[in-house]
Amino acid sequence: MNDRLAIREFLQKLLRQTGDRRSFADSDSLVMSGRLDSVDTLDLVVFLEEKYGIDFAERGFDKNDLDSLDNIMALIEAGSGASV
Amino acid sequence: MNYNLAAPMFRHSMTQGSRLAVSVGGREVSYAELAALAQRVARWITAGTSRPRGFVGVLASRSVEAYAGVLGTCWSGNAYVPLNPQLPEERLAQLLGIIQPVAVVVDDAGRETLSARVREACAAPILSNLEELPPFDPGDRPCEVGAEDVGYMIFTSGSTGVPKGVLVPNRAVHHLVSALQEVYGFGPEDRFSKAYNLSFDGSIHDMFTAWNAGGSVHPVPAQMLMAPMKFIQERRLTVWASVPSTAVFMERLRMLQPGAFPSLRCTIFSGEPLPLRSALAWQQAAPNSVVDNICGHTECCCFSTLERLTDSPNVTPKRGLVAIGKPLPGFEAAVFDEFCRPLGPGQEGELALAGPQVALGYFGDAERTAARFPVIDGKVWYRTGDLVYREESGIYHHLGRVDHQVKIRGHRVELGEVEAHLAEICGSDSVAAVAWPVDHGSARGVVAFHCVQGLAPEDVRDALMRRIPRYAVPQQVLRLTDIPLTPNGKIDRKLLVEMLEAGAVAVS
Repeated sequence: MNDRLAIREFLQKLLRQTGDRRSFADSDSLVMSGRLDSVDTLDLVVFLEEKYGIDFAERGFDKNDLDSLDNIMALIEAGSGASV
Repeated sequence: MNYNLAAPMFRHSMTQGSRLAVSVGGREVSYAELAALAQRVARWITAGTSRPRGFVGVLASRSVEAYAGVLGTCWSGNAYVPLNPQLPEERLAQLLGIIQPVAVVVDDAGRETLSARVREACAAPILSNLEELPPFDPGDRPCEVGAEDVGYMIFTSGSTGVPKGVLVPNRAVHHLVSALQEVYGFGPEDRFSKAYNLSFDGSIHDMFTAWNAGGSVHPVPAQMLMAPMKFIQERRLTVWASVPSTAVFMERLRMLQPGAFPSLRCTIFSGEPLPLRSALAWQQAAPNSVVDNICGHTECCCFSTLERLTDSPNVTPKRGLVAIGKPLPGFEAAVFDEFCRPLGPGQEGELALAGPQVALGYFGDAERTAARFPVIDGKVWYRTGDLVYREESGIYHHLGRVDHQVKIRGHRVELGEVEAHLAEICGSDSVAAVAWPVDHGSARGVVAFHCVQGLAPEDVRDALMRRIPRYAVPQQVLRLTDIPLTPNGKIDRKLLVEMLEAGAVAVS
């Protein structure tokens, strides 16, 4: 399974947990729009840390980085753990 | 004495005009610049209205316009009403209809909310560009206002579906600022976070204690609010104030490393229960800071009681939460039974507060004001609705609510308000809302129930999204055959929560 698909499935799982069954485009806002709350976002962070080695304690945390599937892919491609 | 809330900021502009007053969106605004902006906004407001005194809506957040709007309103002798640009259109139109503002100040985010529907609800002049302001008049001073004049009004959730406007007089803010100054000894070198939104009453502390001390205000960008590690470090903040969720979140992200925030000297957590574990982690990360748990109420000018974290912390048994401590200077606190009779140490009852920070009441709602602000032996009390008990030592412990108000990530939500809208949308009174799940005394969200067949959960959520703030919109909408009732005929919320905990609810 490619990364984009794996992350999409994870995001779908998070949304379903809160009863949100609507579809989303790769560029749709999920965090800033409130579809994912802070607890969901934390789950997402842990997932990205474990699977892709991104160290948020090192790089800092910006909700925009996780706001959409496209943004998350850009974060991963920018290199795990790279400081901004 | 002039109680104008802009007066301390103005005084600093005369003696230390070049010092930083606020740093937001890449702009550094000095005291002299901020005072000039406030004075020009005040001139614009008074030029546009013949009414002697009224409300000015500030439809803005985390921007120069927001703070110029607040201070300009105060300077002009009017009362400001913060309006969050993220509110749904219907809610915004409703609030503007209630306050009938003499003027409205908007920033970029606020301007985007000015739909035809919103403009229809608001006939007042709108300031959307600070460039349009009249020129600066160096001879002008903040208008003379009295202790009992209204400084601001903040809306909170109302159980009938109509938001309640809390009228806060200038003396309440004046007292809050003096009390905090006494506790913390703030000075011009202090660099204050501004994490709370303007429409959240913690912002009163963020702004007015900072400008009273001659310090600088640093609004935290929305995208960094959840975990502002870099922001605190880069701005070298000395004062941090936020909801405890920030500490909980950062702890989980391993951002609370020992010594991570050496610049902090004061940390204030308020707005929701503070888990001991997160408080201790924050203390390690900020070794030079006091860590205080403050319990607050919009009706008592944002902060009411304080508990400082010590080596042997006062923890509320079985909850793992830091106690809410003792009343701030000037407050009198009591535990009331349901007939407003005082209870003794160890007895559970409703927290009641009296003193100079108590608000005037609810705008246009004498009945509810009389119910929540009883006058007992000539003294006005505010019945907070918080279920508490007091130790012999005078330390208060928070146990929950005596009513159906819940906190969702620090925001007050009346479940009755969600139900009132839900009933209209469903066309049936057989509806219910509960806070669920709850972790460490903080609710993560709302779950709604109805009994109407063929109603899609997404449609109900979408309809609610247009009426109430996003944090109050239920994350799940479930259908039941019947809403369970208690023997008294009230909604059995306890049973509904038990059903959710057991996973025994069918999703429609």
